[in-house]
Amino acid sequence: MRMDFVEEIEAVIPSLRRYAHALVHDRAAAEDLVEDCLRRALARRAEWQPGAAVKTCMFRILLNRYRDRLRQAPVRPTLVDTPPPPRLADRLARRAAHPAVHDVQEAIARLPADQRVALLLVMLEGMSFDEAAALLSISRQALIARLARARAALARMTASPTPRQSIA
Amino acid sequence: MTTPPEEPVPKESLIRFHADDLPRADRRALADRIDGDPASRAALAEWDRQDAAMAAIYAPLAEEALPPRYAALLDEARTAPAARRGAARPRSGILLLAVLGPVLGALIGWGASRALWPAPPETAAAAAQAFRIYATDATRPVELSAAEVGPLAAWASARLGQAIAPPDLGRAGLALLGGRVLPGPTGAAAFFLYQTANGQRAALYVTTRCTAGPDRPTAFDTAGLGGFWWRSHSLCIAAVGSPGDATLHRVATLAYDALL
Repeated sequence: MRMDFVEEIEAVIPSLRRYAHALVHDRAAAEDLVEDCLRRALARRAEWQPGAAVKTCMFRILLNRYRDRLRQAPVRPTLVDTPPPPRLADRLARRAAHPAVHDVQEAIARLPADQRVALLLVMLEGMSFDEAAALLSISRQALIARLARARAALARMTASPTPRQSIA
Repeated sequence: MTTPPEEPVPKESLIRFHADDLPRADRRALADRIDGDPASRAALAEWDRQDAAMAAIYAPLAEEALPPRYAALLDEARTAPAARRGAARPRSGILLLAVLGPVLGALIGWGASRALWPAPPETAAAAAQAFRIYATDATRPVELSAAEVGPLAAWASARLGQAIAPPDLGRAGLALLGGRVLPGPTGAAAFFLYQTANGQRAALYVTTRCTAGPDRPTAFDTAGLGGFWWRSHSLCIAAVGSPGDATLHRVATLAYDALL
């Protein structure tokens, strides 16, 4: 039973890492977030109920820690939530490797945190709306509205630069 | 008359369609409408492109071997389950870590060094001192009783400069007796006292303007009185008392989550 607990946790780590990296856009911070989450999950083994949804619990811990870190972070503009930019070298390397995708990644990093959190659960982790809504403690309707806003914002941010030229 | 133009597909419906969240019949009906709506088709294609872009970047991460820092944590949980469940005293765990520190440090790096947080921490010492003085007071261990938890929380919040309230430790078998505000190492401190059914007492001691400390409950021991302490934002928190380490660890875990 106890081994099952650890094994179940281990099985969730790959998706937790994938999600954390996409969420915070900074390798070291993402790994710290995952480690923090893992430590907390392991510390709660005594409270563990067999059959509990390990993945949901771990994502919930991770999201709580993420929000916690957002609150701890220095004051930043409230209209656009902009995490620290990745190092220039990383960005150039990514652009070279994925010329067509870097724009999406950077646009997602610029989404407001609540939209980024929700969108990545669905787009990257393939969670159902029911799962994601439960995890975020919001209604399905609120989740769908949030996803729609996120997709609309992404479309604006990744659109061709023509509109900007027309303004000038 | 030609066929009237259809209403554009609502974005919410499109979102549900894209995530395969619609019942089969609704999905089929919507698919027909999307076929006749170039804007919807373009949006779906764009979302597919976005999803594929993110998958291209992040999917490989999930295929990587488990990084050593996590493997070490999992191994620790597998090989020392008894200590975690409270059969062994955490202090012996710390001694063991001190002996094995260099080896473990090489293996799991930063994680081990945090477990070896230098003692004696000021907050922990102050918590132990407060516990010795007040928890043993037969007549007036607390200023405000559990019946006045609202005023107690308001008082502590006002003096510490941030919202704080005694957490519910019922799941650790402890009921709130009450609390008070005390002088702490860096200003006002909150002292919340709890009691088990058989009369053992434990306290949470919270100080503010805390600049250093472990970010997870870490065992400490001061002159025979032990507990766990950690830092959360500008707060340092210590759980101290006479119940066994297993109970105190549970107290610390509950408070850790509640007082974040």
